Amino acid sequence: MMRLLLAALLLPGVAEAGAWTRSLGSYYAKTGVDLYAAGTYQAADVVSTEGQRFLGWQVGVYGEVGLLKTHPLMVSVQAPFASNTLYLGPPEGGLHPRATTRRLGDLRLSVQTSVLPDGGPLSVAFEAKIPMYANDSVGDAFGGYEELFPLAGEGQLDFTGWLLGGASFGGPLWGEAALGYQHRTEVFLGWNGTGDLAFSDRLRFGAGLGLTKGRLIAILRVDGQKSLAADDGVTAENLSTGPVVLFDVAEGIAIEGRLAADVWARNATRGMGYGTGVSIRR
Amino acid sequence: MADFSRRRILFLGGASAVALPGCDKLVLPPGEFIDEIPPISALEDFYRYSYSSVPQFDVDAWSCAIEDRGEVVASFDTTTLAGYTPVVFEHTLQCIGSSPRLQNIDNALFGGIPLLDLFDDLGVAIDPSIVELGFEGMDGYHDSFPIDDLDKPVWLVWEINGEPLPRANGAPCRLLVPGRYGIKNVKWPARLFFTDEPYIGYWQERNWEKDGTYKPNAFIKSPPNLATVARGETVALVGTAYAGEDPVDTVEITFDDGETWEVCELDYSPGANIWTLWRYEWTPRKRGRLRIRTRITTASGARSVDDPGGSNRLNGYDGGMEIELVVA
Repeated sequence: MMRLLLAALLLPGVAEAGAWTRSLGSYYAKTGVDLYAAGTYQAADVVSTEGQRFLGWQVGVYGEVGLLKTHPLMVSVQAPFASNTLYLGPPEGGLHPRATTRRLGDLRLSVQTSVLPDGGPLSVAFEAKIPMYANDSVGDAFGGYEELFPLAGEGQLDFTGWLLGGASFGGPLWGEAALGYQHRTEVFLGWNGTGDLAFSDRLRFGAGLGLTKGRLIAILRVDGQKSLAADDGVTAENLSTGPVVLFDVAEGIAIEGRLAADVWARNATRGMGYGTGVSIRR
Repeated sequence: MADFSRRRILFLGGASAVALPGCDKLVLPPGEFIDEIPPISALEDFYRYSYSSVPQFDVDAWSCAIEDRGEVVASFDTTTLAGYTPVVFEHTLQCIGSSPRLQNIDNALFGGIPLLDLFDDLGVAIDPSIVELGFEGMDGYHDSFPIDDLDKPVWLVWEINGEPLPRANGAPCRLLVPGRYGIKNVKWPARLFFTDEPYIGYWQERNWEKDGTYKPNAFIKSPPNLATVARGETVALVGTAYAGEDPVDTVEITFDDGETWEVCELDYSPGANIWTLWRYEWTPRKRGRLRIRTRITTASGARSVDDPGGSNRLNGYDGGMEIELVVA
């Protein structure tokens, strides 16, 4: 049975927190909406679907808070609700045939601590990705059309260890980078799988070059993930890049926007992501 | 690495522990009811499916090389093909990725010649050590099939339904390999190559079956899934059944999840390598929703699997399609 695995995860993982670990009482919270669009659809082990378009959006909340007075230690949580629509072909009879799956997404929990005595921007983090959906229920109410529906995600419990580093270059320029090892566990929540797919552990990475000027922060980001297995035919891999802009509209309150284009993708859809949101920080 | 075959699934009441109900939505055009399927597919309706886009190239400059273990031994082009009078024959093609959702199966009258005849005319000799004939299309797609298939024969065709093969269907020519899914029937051939060891093709690199032989399968073309039919009014259930070189013997249908099976009428069933078209005239007596499932049995005794989703889509669909209807 053909089921469509979504590889497009719009909100980044723990790399969003950056290399600077928050101290006690410091927090950052954000809510926003992300869109992702692709002119073709490609996913793990799925025959490329010529003539099918993909559109996904998700709303989510993200928060991070410093926990300790004696040492920078923070936790972050990301909880999205996603809607994924697969357009099944050209419009017919005035209608565009499409299948939409709406579910909670992958919950991401992480713990991050600075490894420098002074709490400087070199830190390690541990992230868990916990599916909050049951892929076995996707399209279940539609009989033989069940397989039209894109799955909500890979349905797999994953763990990632991160090393994050940052630096100021003097003046308004700064930069940060993150490197992670993602272990794909064999634990699937609420899904019986599609066969003998074998997802591989992945290297995840991200880097940003930032400019702070007055109430504006502009960042150019590169993010990606690469399978560690040779000749991997199923694990989603991609490299995306684009700008992120934060504009302070009031003390500690910012409007954020981002744009990300997949410049390379393998076993995954290659498309464009757009996001906007409101954040508050202290 | 996570291995689905060794996976541990956590089911708590059939769902993730933290999963909340979702809301799925399906928008489909009004389903089309048809009374019969034409035995020969219209050219404009003949399915077109490729791993990539249709390659753009100058047909007048096109030629296909024939290689023997890395050495080019001959070639042919449109001038070569123009020297032949095509033999017309009926043949069904089905995509290995076809499913109840993507019913990529069609039947047409093709015009071409046995590939062995071309080899003979070009003076191409096949060494006894050769085990497979590989191919690569102008789009870069590549695969192979056993060398013994050439005796079936394997066809090189450049006409369909009396017209030149359209570019999207493989022009200037394509192969037709009896008994094997479309992945073995290369379009836009750029080179054919003899190999003395098994070749791993594009889709085999992605875990799809190497053999690519047709599996017994049946589709329901009408009524469309989730359609509403009227109680007391007769409706025609029509569809296709196919198993490649293994002729379809019977098509059956069940209204009670396989407890009893009704034999369908075969409207068109010429035999090997040509699809079977079946029908069942049905008059629903009770209101409500019900599921209707098909199964086929071939001349060799092979049968589609009970799971309407098929057993392993990477080997080709081998189920009998199921639909759900509303009787109002």
